[in-house]
Amino acid sequence: MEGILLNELSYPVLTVITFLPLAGALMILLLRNTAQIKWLALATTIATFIASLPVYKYFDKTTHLMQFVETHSWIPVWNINYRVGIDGISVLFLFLAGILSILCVTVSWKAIQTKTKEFYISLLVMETAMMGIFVSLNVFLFYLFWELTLIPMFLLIGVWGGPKRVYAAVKFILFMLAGSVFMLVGIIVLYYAGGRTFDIIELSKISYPAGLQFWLFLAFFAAFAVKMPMFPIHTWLPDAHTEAPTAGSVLLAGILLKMGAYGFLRFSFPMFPHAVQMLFIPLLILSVTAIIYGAYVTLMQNDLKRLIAYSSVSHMGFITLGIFTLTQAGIEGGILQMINHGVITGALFLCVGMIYERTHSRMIKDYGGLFKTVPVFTVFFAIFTLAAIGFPGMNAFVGEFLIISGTFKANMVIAAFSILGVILGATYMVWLYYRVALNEINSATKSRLFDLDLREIATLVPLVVLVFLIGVQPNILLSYMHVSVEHLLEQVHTTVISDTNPLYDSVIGIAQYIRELFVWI
Amino acid sequence: MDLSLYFTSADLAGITPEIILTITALLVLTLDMTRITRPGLYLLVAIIGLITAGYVIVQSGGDERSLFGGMLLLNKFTLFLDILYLSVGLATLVFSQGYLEKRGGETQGEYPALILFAVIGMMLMTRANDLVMVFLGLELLSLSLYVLVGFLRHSLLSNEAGLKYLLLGAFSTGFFLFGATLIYGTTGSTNFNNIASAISLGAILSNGYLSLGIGLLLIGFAFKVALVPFHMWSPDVYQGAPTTVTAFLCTAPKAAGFGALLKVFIIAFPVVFSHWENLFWILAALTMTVGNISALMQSNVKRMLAFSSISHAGYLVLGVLVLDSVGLSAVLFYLVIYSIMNLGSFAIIAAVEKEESGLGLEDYRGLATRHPWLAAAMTLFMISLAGFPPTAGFIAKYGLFSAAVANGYIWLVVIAVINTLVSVYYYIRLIVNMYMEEEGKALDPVSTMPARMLIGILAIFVIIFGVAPSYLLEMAAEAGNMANFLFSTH
Amino acid sequence: MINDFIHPAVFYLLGGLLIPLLRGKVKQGYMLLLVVAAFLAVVIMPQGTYGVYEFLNWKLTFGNVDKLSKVFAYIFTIMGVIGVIYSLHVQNDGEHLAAFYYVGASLGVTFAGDFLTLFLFWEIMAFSSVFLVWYRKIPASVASGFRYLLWHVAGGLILLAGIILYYSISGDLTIRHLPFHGWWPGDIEGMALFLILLGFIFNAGVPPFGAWLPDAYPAATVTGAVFMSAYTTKTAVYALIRVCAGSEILIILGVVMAIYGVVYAVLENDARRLLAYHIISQVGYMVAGVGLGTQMAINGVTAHAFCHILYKSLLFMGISSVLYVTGTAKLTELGGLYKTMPRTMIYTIIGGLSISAFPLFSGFVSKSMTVTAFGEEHLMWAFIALMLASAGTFLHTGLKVPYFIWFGKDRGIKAQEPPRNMEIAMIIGSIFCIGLGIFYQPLYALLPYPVHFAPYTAYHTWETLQILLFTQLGFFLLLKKLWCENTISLDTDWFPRKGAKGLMWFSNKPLANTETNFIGEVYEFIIQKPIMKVAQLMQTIDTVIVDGTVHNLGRFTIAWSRMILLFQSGQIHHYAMFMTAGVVALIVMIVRLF
Repeated sequence: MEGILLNELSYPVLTVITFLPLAGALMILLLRNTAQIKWLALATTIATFIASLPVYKYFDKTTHLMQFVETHSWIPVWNINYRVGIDGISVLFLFLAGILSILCVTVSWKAIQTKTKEFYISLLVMETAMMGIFVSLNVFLFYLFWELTLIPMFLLIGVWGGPKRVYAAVKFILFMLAGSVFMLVGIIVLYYAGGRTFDIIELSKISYPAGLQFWLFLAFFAAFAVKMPMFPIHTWLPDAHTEAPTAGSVLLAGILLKMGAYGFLRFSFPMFPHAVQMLFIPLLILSVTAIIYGAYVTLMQNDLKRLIAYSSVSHMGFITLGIFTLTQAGIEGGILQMINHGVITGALFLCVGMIYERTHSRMIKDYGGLFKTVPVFTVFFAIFTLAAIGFPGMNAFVGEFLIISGTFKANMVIAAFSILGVILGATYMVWLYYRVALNEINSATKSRLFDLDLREIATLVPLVVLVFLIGVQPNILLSYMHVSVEHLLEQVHTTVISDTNPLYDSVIGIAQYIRELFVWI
Repeated sequence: MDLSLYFTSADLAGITPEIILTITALLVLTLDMTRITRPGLYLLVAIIGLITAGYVIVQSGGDERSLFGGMLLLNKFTLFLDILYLSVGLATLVFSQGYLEKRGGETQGEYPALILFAVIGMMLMTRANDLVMVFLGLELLSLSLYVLVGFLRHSLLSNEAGLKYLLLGAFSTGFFLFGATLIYGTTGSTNFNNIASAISLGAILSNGYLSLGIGLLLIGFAFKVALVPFHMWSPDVYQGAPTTVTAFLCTAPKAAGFGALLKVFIIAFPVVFSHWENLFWILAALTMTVGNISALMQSNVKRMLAFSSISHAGYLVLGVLVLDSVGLSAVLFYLVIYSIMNLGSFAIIAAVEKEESGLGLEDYRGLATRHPWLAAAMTLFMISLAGFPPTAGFIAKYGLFSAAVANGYIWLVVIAVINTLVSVYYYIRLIVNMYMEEEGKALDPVSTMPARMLIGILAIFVIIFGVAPSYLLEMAAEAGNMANFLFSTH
Repeated sequence: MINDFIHPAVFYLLGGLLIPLLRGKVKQGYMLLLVVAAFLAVVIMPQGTYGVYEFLNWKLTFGNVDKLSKVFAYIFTIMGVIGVIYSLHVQNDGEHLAAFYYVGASLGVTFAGDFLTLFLFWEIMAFSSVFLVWYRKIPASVASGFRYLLWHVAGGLILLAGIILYYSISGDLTIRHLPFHGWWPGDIEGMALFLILLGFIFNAGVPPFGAWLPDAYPAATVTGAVFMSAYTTKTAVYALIRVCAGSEILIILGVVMAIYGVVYAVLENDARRLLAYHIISQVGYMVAGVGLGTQMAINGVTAHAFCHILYKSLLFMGISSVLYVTGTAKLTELGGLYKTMPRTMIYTIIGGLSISAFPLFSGFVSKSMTVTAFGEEHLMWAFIALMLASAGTFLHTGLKVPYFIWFGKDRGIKAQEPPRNMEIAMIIGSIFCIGLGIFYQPLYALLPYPVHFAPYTAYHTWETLQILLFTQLGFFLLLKKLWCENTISLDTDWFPRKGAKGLMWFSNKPLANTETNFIGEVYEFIIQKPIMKVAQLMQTIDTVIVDGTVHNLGRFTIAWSRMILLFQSGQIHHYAMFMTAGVVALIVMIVRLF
């Protein structure tokens, strides 16, 4: 059918990289020996990453069409196909998920002592789900993977987490479901509104009545906003991050948070352009609120992981900000920033996890003077701190630059506020670094601190490389998304409302009103 | 005299499964009388009976057949449900092996026999095309269940449950019968098709009485499938009954109840059904909400699952509400999946359970470390009950919701999904206790080899129907076609 | 062409990386080699545009060489040589590294051809120089270093905002002349230019944004202060000349700075902080000159920046050596060092004379040019103010500092001349100060515009000398009053005293107070307090309202569940009752229905 490119590789590459981890998990199921389990898990993640390399090599950057598409009939009764494929928006996430999964295995090597088998199985199932989300071209399949992430993450947090892990895990899963059940209803409605199909490409071609768009947007928004998380519904994040084991935090920050933003780009923009244009100013305000609010709350944290968690609230605010500017620069910056945030925050969580393994304390007051006690660690920590601040020449700078320049095009005032957000961001990160690395040595933990070993350095180095590589040569990544983003934008901007269903006129009225509320800005 | 006036060989051929089952039941009882006390034997005989019956049913192929002058109506729909009853009965028997001894009730032939009778009753309920037949089936089922529920003579709880079930059951049966009589009075017939034609022709005494009759009939079913506010008996009964019986009780009879309900409304009252939508709407909303909310605070696993099964009945009403082929197939699919999940989880409970104890949530602490496979299976059943993909529970729920949305019951679906959200809380509480709480006191699940294998098989089903449901869906769709066929006749 | 342009920053940024690997003499030799090489790279550098590099869809220009950037590169590299020599003895590699990156970054700014590159090095400067403060390793220095960093991050991001805003309207990032002529609401470009200007004057130390300067420099390490005195403000001046020349507001700001610095220096007791104030004062001349923007003014500013770096670093080196030797730089604790540190005294006095623009010293040839530029533009008020300021400068740096440190009351401090490398550095500095004072033509030749100005006309010389002599007279008459206490008797009658008295009082009462607040607690009051207050508030909101809502929702559901369970009493007659109720309800419905 038109609108897609079939897989020109000799083998179904996307299916392979999606289900290879699952296969690994099944094999682990049969193993007994812990060492074997670890090595098999590592091998699986690495194999997955390697298997995904051809995708980036043969990816055609000149088209917005879906690529490497595979289609198989799945549940004919409901007209559901198994269809996977990627475009410029999703391809980068495969890379991120692939690399982070490897690091998650290596960082958990020593940290996980109990229920090792279950741990690595959850981890690998998690990877399958993450890969699946980004390759699905079928809403039903997408939802399947979307929900599949919950249980493994629930177990990761709840079984191998910190003292308050049960609370955090339950909170996590309830928040997630609270969002996604509404998305489920939205999906079903979409299925009938779009002519009884789940095919994303098909659904994106149809223009739905304005009011329906509005409701569907809200239904999907519920799921995506919780996942992001956007401002008022972010409280699951600090708890989940704080209690989760390092690997869990890394995957949360690295991938799960991005799923929301990805959902906006994959569903909300092409399918409900009218609603997006109707609501993008309120959404911008929500984002910038999240940025500043998140930054402020971050300042008050005295728990390392909690601090980083809240900082992600702020950073995700930047991402939504970029996305909802509806400008090329903004969206590209948003996507790039998703990758950056995945790298940086992932790295920061890895760092924290590493010293936590030694001292078993996440409290900032228990640290200080690491600059002298563990220099190697501090060097890495410093690099990632600078990266998080958005230091020029490092990856986050490019993302934030693009986002903010996009925001200036979209709305002056909001842009000004976002700058304030950057300043606050720099403040809390520098302050954190100052308290942890530069203060006088803290005798409480000094005795237990020893510097990174080779495995840990090997875990961090790839991320350092990414930080600088993206910082100096962002085009490597941006080139993948240019065309797709352009196409996405034209989908959004050239929207025509076929018919306005009288039933929804009131809704549109409200929406109009909301929009006028913010016109003055 | 010429028997063929009353029935032909074809009629007899139609009810062969029932006959086989009856004979098996009698055989089991005879064995019991002959003091051959080897539990395995009863089981074997009963299972052979069930399997042969199933074989015969499958052979019959499920094409439309009317028996005994329209007393029974066989078709794909009944075939589907029959198979379900038989397999549930079979599974129950397998799980009961050794459980009763554990609970101190000495094995007797009655147990399998009663199960078999119950199965026969259910088959009659759904095959019936006549209110009287429905009633007969209902009674046969209920009576055997009353005994089964109170089967543990030494357990007070069990006896109490049996008594409650008996009294309240009698209460509701009365309503059912009264409703049937009213309908007969207004339409002049108890045969579904005649009722339908009478209504469509308008040849009825009074709408009021008819509606009253339908309403009372409905109450009878509502009691059987435990719809709010006629659910009050179920938690106590489910908790008191022997766990294996509970497993049976909350799966097959529900299926039978819904089957008969659907058949009555599809064949007999297709025209007036539209009047009843609001009522079903309320019943659905009430049932799922009350069921879930009550389950939240349960600390006893059996009781928790009892409430959860109430809420599931609520979801099923969504399908009844739709009442077209899609809704019908959705209900049928859901019934299968629901039975699998509940049988599995109750089997595990039966294994873990001790004499009057081992039912608390905290008794499951540390199960994951000592019995990882059992815990994994339980987790699987729980997340499936909660409706997470990629388990069968999700597909089943999706089918119902989708059917409801297609017919414009969006807000009811919204209520349903919010209920799902609530339900997740108590389902994962069990997972939390198994995996995340600190280790509790040691418990060693007792279960026979076949039981364990069956649990494994059910768990695998939960996954398979979650990722590749097509085959079962198609069968359900075929069975659901009854709705189209019959609607078209009117 | 490209091959004879070697970016001098390369020697600092890349070459510097090897420093930690080397030891002892080799290291020192290597460092010297680097800095000299960097200087030569500037010398042989032809004008033109080099090092253009594609980044996203922008052209990053790393080597934009013209007369202006070249003259600044000269002085930066020369200063690099002096500074490195001065700090050769330092053991801490981190400090060396920080210094090298600091200098390298300032060179990067000098040659930056577009705003993005400029911003890149701008930030590197901030983040590397802060270590020069932190490595002092006393709590005070850590704290003020942190404040310093925050000031610069804030400034840098304001600059970035300006850049992005400018980019989003012009779609162009190349650095060009963008004077700021005021902003009115809705004027985006004006806003952009204002933000850029603001970003620059943060670094230029324009009050009140200069609060970091007298806060951080005295806290810096012995050698760190020498570097910092030279680069941060002068890089800002360079950026201002490039971008904002002719922005009127700068004249006012500059003059204010010039006075402000002097006035605050009056009662300063810490010699290094006193010098820090003089940096503000001197940079004030330059900022004002930039604001004026005439060719002569620009020449003057450039020349003044050139000389200023030399004599200010010389002064800092002198005082720092005293600090290094005696461990304190408090005027009240020093005195009578002329016996033990005579040579250092000479260098310092040379620096003092230069900064006070004494004829035959470098300050004269540059400052007079700047001031004259104002005269020629008939901005008399500015002209006078700047003259007075230079008088004040002489009063403190030329007279007060030497007096209190080297003469004054001998406190019998054990001291000796500083290490040789320090002294060599000071000698070089002194040679430059005097040399440029006498042979100023080569300097003038370097200036961006052709120079039509002769410093040693009778008029200039006489005028300057007159002022200086008067000041000197006043100083010795007022010696007591200039004592570094905050109370003074007011029984004086004749003019210089009156003037001085007014000055005293003025600087005592209102200023001294605001000053202590401003420097010490500006961080407290402007940065920490509000942010933390709001942060606390937000934190409460987060836990109480946002999270609380969720929790209460949960509690509510649980409560509901408990309530419903009350009906599940286990009493069969209750159940029957409920069923009956259901039946009744149904019947009622049916009756309503039909």
